[in-house]
Amino acid sequence: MLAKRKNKTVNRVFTYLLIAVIGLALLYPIIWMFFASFKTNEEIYGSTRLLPAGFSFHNFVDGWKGNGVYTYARYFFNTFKLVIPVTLLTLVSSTLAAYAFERFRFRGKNILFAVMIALLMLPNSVLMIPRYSMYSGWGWINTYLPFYVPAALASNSFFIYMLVQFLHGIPGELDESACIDGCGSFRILVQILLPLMKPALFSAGLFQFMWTYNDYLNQLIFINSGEKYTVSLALRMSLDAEAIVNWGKVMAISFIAVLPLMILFFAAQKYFVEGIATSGLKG
Amino acid sequence: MKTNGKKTGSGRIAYRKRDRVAYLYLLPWLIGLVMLQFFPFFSSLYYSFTDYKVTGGMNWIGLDNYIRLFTKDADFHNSLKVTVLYTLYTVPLKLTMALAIAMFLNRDIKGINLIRTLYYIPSLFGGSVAIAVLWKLMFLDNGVINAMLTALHLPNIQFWGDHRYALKTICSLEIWQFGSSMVMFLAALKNVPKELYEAADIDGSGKIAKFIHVTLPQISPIIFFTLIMQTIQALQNFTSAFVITNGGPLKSTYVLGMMLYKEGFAYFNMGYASSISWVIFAMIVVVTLLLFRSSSAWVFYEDEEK
Amino acid sequence: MKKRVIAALMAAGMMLMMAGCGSDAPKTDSGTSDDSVEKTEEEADAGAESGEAPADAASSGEQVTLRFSWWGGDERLQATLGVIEQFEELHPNVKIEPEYGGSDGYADKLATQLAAGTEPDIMQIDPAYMSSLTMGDTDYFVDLLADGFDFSQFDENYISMRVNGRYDGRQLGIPTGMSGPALLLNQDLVDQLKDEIGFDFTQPFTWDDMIEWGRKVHEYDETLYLIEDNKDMIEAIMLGIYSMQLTGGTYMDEETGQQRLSVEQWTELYTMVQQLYENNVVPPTSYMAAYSGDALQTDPNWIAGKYVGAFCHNSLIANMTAANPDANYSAGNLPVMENAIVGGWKANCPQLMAVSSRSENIKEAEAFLDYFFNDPAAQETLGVVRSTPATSQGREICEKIGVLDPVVAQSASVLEQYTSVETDKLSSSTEVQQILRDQIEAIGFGVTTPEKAAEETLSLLENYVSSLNIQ
Repeated sequence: MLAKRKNKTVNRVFTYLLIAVIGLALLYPIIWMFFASFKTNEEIYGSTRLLPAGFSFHNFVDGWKGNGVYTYARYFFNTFKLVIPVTLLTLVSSTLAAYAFERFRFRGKNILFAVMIALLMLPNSVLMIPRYSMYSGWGWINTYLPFYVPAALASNSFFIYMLVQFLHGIPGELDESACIDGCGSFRILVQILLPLMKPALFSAGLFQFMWTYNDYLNQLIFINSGEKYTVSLALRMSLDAEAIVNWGKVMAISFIAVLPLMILFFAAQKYFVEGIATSGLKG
Repeated sequence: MKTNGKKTGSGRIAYRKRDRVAYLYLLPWLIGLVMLQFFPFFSSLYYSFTDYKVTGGMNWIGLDNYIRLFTKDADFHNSLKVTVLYTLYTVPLKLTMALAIAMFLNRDIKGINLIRTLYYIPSLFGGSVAIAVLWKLMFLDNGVINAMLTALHLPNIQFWGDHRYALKTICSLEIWQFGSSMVMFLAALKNVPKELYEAADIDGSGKIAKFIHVTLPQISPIIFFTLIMQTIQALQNFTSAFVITNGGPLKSTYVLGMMLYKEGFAYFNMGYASSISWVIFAMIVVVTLLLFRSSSAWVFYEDEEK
Repeated sequence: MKKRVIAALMAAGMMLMMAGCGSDAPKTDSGTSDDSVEKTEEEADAGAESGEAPADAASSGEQVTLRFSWWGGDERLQATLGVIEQFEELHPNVKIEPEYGGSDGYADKLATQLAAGTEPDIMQIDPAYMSSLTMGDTDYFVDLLADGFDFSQFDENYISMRVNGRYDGRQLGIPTGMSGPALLLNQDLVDQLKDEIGFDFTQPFTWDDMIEWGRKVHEYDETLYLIEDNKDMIEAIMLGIYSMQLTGGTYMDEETGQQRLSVEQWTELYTMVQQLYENNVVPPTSYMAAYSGDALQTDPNWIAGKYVGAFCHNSLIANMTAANPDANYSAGNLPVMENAIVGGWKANCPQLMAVSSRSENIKEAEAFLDYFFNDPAAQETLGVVRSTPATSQGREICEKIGVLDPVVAQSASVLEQYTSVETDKLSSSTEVQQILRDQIEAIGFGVTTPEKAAEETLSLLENYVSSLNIQ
């Protein structure tokens, strides 16, 4: 009995140790990057030392100040104004489309499904010019509409397909048995499926949030004026190769830029991969 | 192409009657398809048969772009090879890594959520320039990695300068950012009913047997999805190669996505660039079709259960 | 043609040398679009008035909005916004919307905008890009010469070069600065090795001398190299200079697309490149792969002072010296072969400013550029944020306020002793650059021979020309 418990403890210690070792290996570059934001260029190049000579936060302070026209406060505000609606709209529109594709039979389904997947396959670069012409014809340039509207119309097939795959995992008997008599399909979706899809929706939401947050090229093309700039645009401006590059500051700004994502992920860790109540799922 | 249509298990019966309602749910997507997607999609197809230059001028030239691509352009053949290699290196390794870590982290111990989040951090930076810069610095001739190799009495490697290693070093960056696949796998693992494991326990199955007979089939739809997405993405991706090596040395990292981008935006040959992109498109379609074909053999769906 | 360039830089060099001969300030003739040169102090009230000359709408008080795009770092941003503000104060009816950003992606955005017809009224453009843009059928830019823009502060010889915006007699862009090739020297290391190696960069020397010195430097201390250069700079500077000295012209004839260099001449060019690598004059290609393009100053060995010198554009000197501020710097002579036909370097302005021909407010846009380039207040605000100004008055002002780097000035005066050739629009295109850089890299890696590289180059260049349908 005692041996077994001891065995368990050893096991547990071993598990944590393994987690720590793997984690450290994975995170080492990030840790290095963090300490690099306190370093001078001379310290960064050609030195394998992890810790900086001194801890001064001036790279972070300078970084936050941005280009002197707007601080990062402004860019963060803009970014959230862009990213949050895009994320929510994507979730709603993609869920509806995924529901249609997964749970219904209708004419043209096979073809539409194929079209949906095919839209993922054409590289973006050549779509840029026609897409831009179209949006500019509608007066969308220098607004966030080129981001909101496609999100509202489920234009990124990735999320539809992802949710389709997750819906697959939820047995059809479940929605039926739970709503046997004349329950509308919309109520099935909202009351039965949505709670079950929570982990998938969270993943999808986090992905969309992160990708929109980090996206550079689209924001660059569609947004013109500095007052509407996002973190991603401001970050790239701070890195402009023509100026003399202070790598420490670059690392510091990158950290500032990624900070909201980190906070979001830490805050959402509970839901991160929260399992659905699997018991009772299979009748 | 479809993964779900042919299954008519009991689960789908109730929905059969609601044919029309489906269009209602699909409406936003259909509007988007017509309004936002068709025009750019077919414009680019049209461009690929023209000599469209951004600097002005567009004439129909039939298949000339494609003929030039396959018969004359040495860069294209190189890029094709590099892209295939890049895909073959990154996709399987990234998925294996993501799955292994997801399995490893799929346990109920204290602070597991925090640990998962920490493991995800590298992926948060996405295609950030800072990460590209970081990777470049670490793998410099006198960078951290070579210093470690020296400490281990191993010979140093010119990761960026040697054309045998540059592509692999870039792939390592991609593989390192395995987080999104890991998240998908974790979510899928959570969906595996515990009863199945309990049943396997009663049968006296070992860990490996449980993994092969319970876990893998149960999460196979998500593995399939991730495989498709990662493959599509890998065949198009060029950001890190662009930022770190700019295609070099000796074009060993000059992937198709980058060639297409350069033709379009550095040389303004949008017509030619469009034809490259349709070749990539065709490649992806073929690969995806093959994967879908193969899926019936190894992807397991809930409603197929007897 | 060669004379024009030398004259231009001579003028520049002289200006740089002689501090403040302010009397030279251009006398403006009335009736041109110029308005702002005269208004220095009293502009507050004169502003509205002088705004009338170029822009009728400006005086009528009709509200006009101009979009102005550029790329660049924070310093440039501050200065440019300052100038915009000054201009808006003088012209209350004109609102200028700045569209700024990093250089990364700027060209993509511009291409997209031009294709869709939504480009800004005023644009900063890379000269190599400008060449490509003017090669097509579309007239994207306003001919400022025809519109009577005041170029009196610019040297005609300089501004009439294609790289500076003059295409077939039409001034489509205005150069923001002056630049050319430079041999930037780490003076400390030069002094230290002088006796050992026996080099002297203040005297004329040949390519063979340089290669010999490079070999010796590396033999003397194998952590040292004579020249820091990557394949991009070897192409942009050394290959260009060498071929001009050899043939007196550029690689191609832009009218006919005819190749100017024979296989033998290309072989000679690439043999020079091969010798650079084989004698360790420059660091190995594999090492420099991590520091490509303009990024020479990020090489830790440069920062650590392991190079005697570097070939770069003189607009990069400020970055290069700032990367290792502990060292002293100077500008050396350029190598010249025996029997060189010309000194052989090309002017290289860092950016052009252009006005969109589709702008609804061309007059106002021109009035702004006039202020931007010709007004002393603007010149003072801008300083050298777009490298050494191309206007005489701009340089004087920079000199006076002490923002002109002495090494940059020295490198400009070094160039005075050489004749130059104007680059043709084919040779300076990004595609041709890429073809040459690929070959240089292959030679550096030893996977090709100069002979093979020469043949391949010619065939690729011919392919390129035929794809343009010049005839």
